[in-house]
Amino acid sequence: MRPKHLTIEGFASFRDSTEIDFRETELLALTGPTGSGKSSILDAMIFALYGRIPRLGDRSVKEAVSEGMRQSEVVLEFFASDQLYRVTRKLRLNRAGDIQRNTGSLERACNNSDDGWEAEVSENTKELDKKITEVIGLSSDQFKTCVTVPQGEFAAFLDARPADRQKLIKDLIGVQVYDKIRELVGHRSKDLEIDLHTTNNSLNELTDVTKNSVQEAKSRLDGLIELQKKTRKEIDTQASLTAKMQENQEKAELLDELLKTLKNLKVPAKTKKLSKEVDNARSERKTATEAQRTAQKRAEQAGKQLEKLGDKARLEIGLRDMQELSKLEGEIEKFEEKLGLATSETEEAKEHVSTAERQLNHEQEQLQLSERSELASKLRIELERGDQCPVCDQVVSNLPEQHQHAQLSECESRVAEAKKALKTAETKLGKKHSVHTALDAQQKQRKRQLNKLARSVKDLPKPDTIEKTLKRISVAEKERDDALAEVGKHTRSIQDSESRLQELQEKVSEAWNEFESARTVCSVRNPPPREENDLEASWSKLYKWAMSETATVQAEQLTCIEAEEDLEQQLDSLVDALECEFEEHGVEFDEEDPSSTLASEIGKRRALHATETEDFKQKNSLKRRKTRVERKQKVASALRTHLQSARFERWLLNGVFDKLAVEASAQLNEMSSNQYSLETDDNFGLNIIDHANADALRSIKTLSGGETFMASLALALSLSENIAGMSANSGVCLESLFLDEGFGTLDDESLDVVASAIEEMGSKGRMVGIVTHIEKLAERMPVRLKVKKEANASVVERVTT
Amino acid sequence: MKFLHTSDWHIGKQIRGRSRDDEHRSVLAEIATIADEHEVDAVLVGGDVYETKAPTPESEKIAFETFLRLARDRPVVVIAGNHDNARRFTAVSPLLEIANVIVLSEPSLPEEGGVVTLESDSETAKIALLPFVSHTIMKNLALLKTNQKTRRELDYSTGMAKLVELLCKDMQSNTINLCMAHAMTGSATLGGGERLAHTVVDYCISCDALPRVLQYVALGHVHRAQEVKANVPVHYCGSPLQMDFGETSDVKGVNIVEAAPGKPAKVSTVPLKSGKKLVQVSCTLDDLEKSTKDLDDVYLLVVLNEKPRRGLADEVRNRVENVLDVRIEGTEDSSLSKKSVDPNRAPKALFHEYITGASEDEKLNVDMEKLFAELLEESFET
Repeated sequence: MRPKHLTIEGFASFRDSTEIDFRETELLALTGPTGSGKSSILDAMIFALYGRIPRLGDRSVKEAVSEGMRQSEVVLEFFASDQLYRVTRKLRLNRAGDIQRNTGSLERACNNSDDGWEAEVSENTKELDKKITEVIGLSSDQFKTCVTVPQGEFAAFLDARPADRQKLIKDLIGVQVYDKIRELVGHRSKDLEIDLHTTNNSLNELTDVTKNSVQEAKSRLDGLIELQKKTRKEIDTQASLTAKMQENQEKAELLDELLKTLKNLKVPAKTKKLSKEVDNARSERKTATEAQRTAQKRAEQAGKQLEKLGDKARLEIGLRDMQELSKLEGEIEKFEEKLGLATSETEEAKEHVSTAERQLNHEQEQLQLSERSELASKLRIELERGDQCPVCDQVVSNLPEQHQHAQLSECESRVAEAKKALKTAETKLGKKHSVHTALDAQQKQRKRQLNKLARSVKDLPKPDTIEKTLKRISVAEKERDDALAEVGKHTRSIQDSESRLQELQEKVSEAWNEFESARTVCSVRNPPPREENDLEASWSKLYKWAMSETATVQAEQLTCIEAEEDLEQQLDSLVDALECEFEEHGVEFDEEDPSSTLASEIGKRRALHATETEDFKQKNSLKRRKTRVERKQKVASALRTHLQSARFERWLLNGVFDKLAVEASAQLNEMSSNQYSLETDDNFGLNIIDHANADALRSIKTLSGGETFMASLALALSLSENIAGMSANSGVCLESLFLDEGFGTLDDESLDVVASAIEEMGSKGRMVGIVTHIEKLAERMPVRLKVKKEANASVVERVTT
Repeated sequence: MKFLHTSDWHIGKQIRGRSRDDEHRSVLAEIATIADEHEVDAVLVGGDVYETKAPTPESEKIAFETFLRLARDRPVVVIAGNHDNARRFTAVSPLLEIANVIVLSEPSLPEEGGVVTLESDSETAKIALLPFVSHTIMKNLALLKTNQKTRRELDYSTGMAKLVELLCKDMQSNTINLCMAHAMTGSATLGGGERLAHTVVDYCISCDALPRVLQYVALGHVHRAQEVKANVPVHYCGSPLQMDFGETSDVKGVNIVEAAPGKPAKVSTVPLKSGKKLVQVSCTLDDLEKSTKDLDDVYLLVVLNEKPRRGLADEVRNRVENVLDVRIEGTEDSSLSKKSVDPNRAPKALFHEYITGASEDEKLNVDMEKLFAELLEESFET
């Protein structure tokens, strides 16, 4: 990192915007009286880069904000490995004075000049911190130590007592990781101790578990398993014996049953009576059937005769019609007279009507004439000779005479009289005509009736013949009815016999069933078959068989009993033998279910054996573990011993101190034109060898100001380079270096030494800045940044020699 | 034409706190006399006029008086060296130019002061000037960035070669062509008192880069006078005073260069008598007086074949005057200690080294290292 330009505002004593130009020089001095704000410029640079100020610590970064102000802004343009960057940080406080925001952004110059910027990271503090560390190659703490060299600290380091020096080295190189490891190894040792303790306890619990105890458990288990196999076989045998006994018992019971059946077998008493009753019923039925047949024949004969005699109803209707016919003929004759009278009265009335009509016509003609003359006379009244005739349209030459005619009204009344007379005549004719018409209709009705009757009796014999036939029909009918009544009587008698026979038949079939069931009971023994239709014979045969069979069965029963006794004996001996075996293996014998007790015992034994085996394994692994843990414990405790400060750390710090001193010595030698070297002892002691004074060994304390400066600077540089080397980015090169104070007053000779040393460093391509209040030293630097405090704010003036 | 080539005056240089201003005054006066005697046409000063970038007024007085004295009869051409303050040189150059002193403090284009042309009655000399260029300046040198394609950074010697090429490109065979530079060359031998940082290999100019058109290359920077092997004459004239005890055997002087167009210059060295000699005397304490009896007005470095002891140096100084340093034979360097431990090495490696030395139970050591590595991992996790 090599700064190019820094803008500060609201930061520490830089209240107003302050610009600081670092360009065009390799050596510069930051000067000004104590308290003017020189060191704040370095703080501002670190703050711009890292957002924190290691000198103040993380929490008090807010103290960087100028008093009474709420915001700090720092912008730093810098080169890192020849690339120009610009980092901007803003720190904002809230009203209470606590940090509200601490943000920053990093930009990268496009052409390595400030005419174009490209954002690298913006407003992401975490990202920015990471990126800055990457770009610079140093953490903020490393930066503080390497770039803004706290020179005063090294002067103090040089001055310090050896023990303090050791502590300072420890702080500077950071041995926290070894402290951490020492702490961890302590924990580890404790853990291992606990582990060993636990392991031993576990082993103690397993003292009884040995190879033999496992073997024993195994053989006991094996014995039981063998017994289980045997028991299973025995139980099978028992089962087959029991089955045989069961079979035998069943057979005996069967024989017993059979014997009982056979003894109970008897021919039923009703068998003979039933046969007789069946025979009687059959003969009754036969007699009735024959009587019925005879009566049937008689009835048939009577029927045939009736057929020959004809239809009795038709004959009776014919006879009645004949009587009706003769009566009707008499009536028709009487009615013909009445009809003739009516006809003549009608003719007379007709004559009256036509006369009246003629009278009317005459009167009407008279009326017409009368009317005409009436009209003419009316016209004549007006008419003169020579007038135009209104009727014939001709000139009247002769005037007609005036005619006198009968009175018109007289004529009219006569017409009315004639009309009245006509009407009366017509009414009379109407009456006569309707009487005639009615009579005529009645007569026609009778004649049609007559014709009908005549047609119906046309084919019939004479009435007396009909009557004779009718008498013969009723005799035949009586004969037939009697015969039919007899047939009915016999039919009922047949039905009675049939139903009795039915009842008997049922009884017979019951009897057969009885027989069959008796036979079925002993069917296993093959009883003789039935004699078909002969119940009696069947029974007697069966009975005879039963008698002989009984003897056979009794013999069989005897054999059965003997077999049972034998089986029982076998079974008992088997169970006894098994019980003995169980006792031998110490297993309780349950006669009902020996295998389940055995199984549960085997389960127990198996579990015991498994536990024993497992324990044995466990014991072995514990033994191995114990060995392992003991070894680990030994290693850990050895490591712990070595990590104690007297050993490893001391070795390390001594080594580092030696390296620092050797490198610082080289630096010092170069800086002092081969005059001085540094020398160390094993107790962090530090001495200077003055080669120009016969290698005089001088204590640090006797060095002049300039020499002290060179020695401390040499140490600072060697430490800087060692620390810079620690960072992840191994390519880090310290492009700039700021030495912060550390010089008291310097005499002229020392001043020259110090200035030469600084110039020497500045000529190595690094920018070297010194922060000093010694004007003479500052004046040796070509560029000076003079910091002054005006009123309450600091200002910077750049002075170039 | 004739030139006087001098450099590395280092006015203001002290030795063990003693001022050398008087020596400077006398030696520079001697140089002026030589210039007059040899009737040189120009004086070339190859840089490091001052010891520091902020010279004292007394130092400046010496320098300016010398410039004016030299410039009375001829031009004086000065370039800035690494010890000089280039900006200060730039600031004062217009005034000096009135006095015929041409000063160039930073690399410039030929037409902007990079090449100085001097005329005599019959001849023309062109002098390419190359003041000291630091790495930083080289990186940012605008001169070299004219070509867009070569914008990327140049390493130092390539940059120097480019600069020389740029300055010499218009030189013709009918002129006297010189080059003056303040730089290191690969094969130069150091005298002592040079800034080591500026003389290491990275700061070298390659002699192959010097074009054949040059008749003489006047170099400053190295305090010991010497010719550098190259295709053309290349010389360090060295410092006029012995600057440190590394130079005790060096004869100090200036170079008189006679040059004509088209052929290498003739170079002769004129020794300087002024200034105290730095003398190293190796002896035992017993024959101290004997060994130093003829040595007056010198600075002494006494190298004793004795064991160091308290008060030894004081004793020597009491017995003999002008003793600056008392050294003990064979203890120049503090050799690297075997105890040194680099804290940047991995903790595992450090522990391995430690435990190998601390314990002989190899098996236990291996186990401890394993445990150490395991706990180290664990410490990262927590």
